[in-house]
Amino acid sequence: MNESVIVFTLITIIGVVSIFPLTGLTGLFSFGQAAYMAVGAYIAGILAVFYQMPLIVCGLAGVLGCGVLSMIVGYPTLKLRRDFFALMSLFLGEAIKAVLNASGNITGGAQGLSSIPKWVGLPGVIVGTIVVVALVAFMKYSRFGRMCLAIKTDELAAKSFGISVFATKMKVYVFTSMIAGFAGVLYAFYIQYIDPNMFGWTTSSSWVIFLFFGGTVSLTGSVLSAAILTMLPEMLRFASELRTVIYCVIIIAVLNFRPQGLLGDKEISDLFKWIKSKLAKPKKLPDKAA
Amino acid sequence: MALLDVKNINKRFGGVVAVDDFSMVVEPNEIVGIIGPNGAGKTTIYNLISKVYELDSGQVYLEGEEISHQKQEKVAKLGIARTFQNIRLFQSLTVLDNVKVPCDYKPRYTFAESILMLPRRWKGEAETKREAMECLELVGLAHLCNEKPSNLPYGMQRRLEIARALALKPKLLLLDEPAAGLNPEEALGLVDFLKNIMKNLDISMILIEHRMDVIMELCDRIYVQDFGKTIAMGTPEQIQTDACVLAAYLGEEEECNA
Repeated sequence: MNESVIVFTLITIIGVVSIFPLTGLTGLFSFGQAAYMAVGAYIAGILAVFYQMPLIVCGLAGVLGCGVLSMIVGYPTLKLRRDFFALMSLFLGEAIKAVLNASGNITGGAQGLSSIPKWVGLPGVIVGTIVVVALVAFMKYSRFGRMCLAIKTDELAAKSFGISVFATKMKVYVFTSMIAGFAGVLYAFYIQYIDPNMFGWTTSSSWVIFLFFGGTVSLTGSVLSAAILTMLPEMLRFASELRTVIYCVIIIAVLNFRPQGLLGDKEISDLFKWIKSKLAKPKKLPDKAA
Repeated sequence: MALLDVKNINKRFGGVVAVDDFSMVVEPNEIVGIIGPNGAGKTTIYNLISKVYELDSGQVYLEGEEISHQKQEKVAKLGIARTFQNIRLFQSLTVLDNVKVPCDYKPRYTFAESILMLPRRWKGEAETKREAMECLELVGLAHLCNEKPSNLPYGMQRRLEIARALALKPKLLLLDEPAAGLNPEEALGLVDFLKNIMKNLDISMILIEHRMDVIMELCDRIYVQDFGKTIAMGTPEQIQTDACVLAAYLGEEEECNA
């Protein structure tokens, strides 16, 4: 397996993890998350190519640009019902793609933006992925993670316990958009070439599929499924013609026989807890008897 | 000053008048009951006080402050907690996390502090956990804190709902049929439990309930609703002998001047 497959897998992991708090925890479908990846990649790429900015400035501008855009988009749309929000996110994704295609003098249009400096290697992407997964894991186990799950399960009950639904959704939306933007920054500086069609709804919706495959409330599952499902087509190269069929059958089989996803709501930390409880048991039993 | 003062509230759904000119007063440390046949508008009154629905007219005051047009989450923060007739626990959260949620609106740490695991996040989480465990211990569910709510028997889910409401540290607790689906023994346990809470916490309650033994045992005053209207108000003794109440419940053809 060559390096670029690994990098592409890691960037997909960041992408799936970027919709985890939004779609997995809060229950807001985003079919346009890859657009934020595009925005991050283009801001960083343009600053580097045309303005010769250093990496840190390009990266920060890419990530923060996504944050600002998501605030502008989120303000009117996060008050809508979930299904309307999902529709809007799809339109947003396509709109951003169209804008990037149309403004050729800045973005290079459909030909893409090339000769971006190669500032990020495999180690950088690995570190970036670990940091992102850690940030999202910490978020899940905080009051924000709980509030998101409460909103997803029962918005009315969540409100009657003092949770501001809009403010919580907004924070999560900005957070996840910035992560997607970060994925874009890594992508641009590794691949050195970006074009708008990489960031269409097919990419966004495949992230959603990966999330459901792994289990919507399991971060471990999302990471695993993103890794497996991105590398699977590569591994199935020997069966070139049947590749897509096998791929689809696996996804449908999991969604059909395990609708809660591969791992359901289990996390890797649950495994550690389980092992710990198994090891601790022999000590506990005499206590109870006494 | 009254804790809760409800003045002439009205709510219509199309042609149905669900709540017709309802007024009530709840004093501090008092349990007030609302009874009435099905469809009398009892739960709608709760939904109006806790702002799930917008009022058509009338005012609601909590400790003298008008909350008639506040947002639902603001009313909760001001100190009105409620349970739901059809249990509405957060099924995807554990028992402990369910009880933590009412503490979560408090800005004990910011979003940035949560994702970076800064010290205030640890302190805030520890405080939230302590408060949640206290509430679980109060209802006797502390040993089940890592279970999912759906794994608990019905009576315990009801208790968990009360624990979750108490975790909000409310001044006023609205209980919507807490004894529904409980067997007589469990209902007796609930009565003792609620009495215990009244003794230990500085709190008032409004109780909607169909079981007269529970209502008569607990309530200081009772409002009787029928078709959205208040047909009687008084102490349990007065209500038990009230002609209008008997008419509403048993359908007697007696003269009623309410």
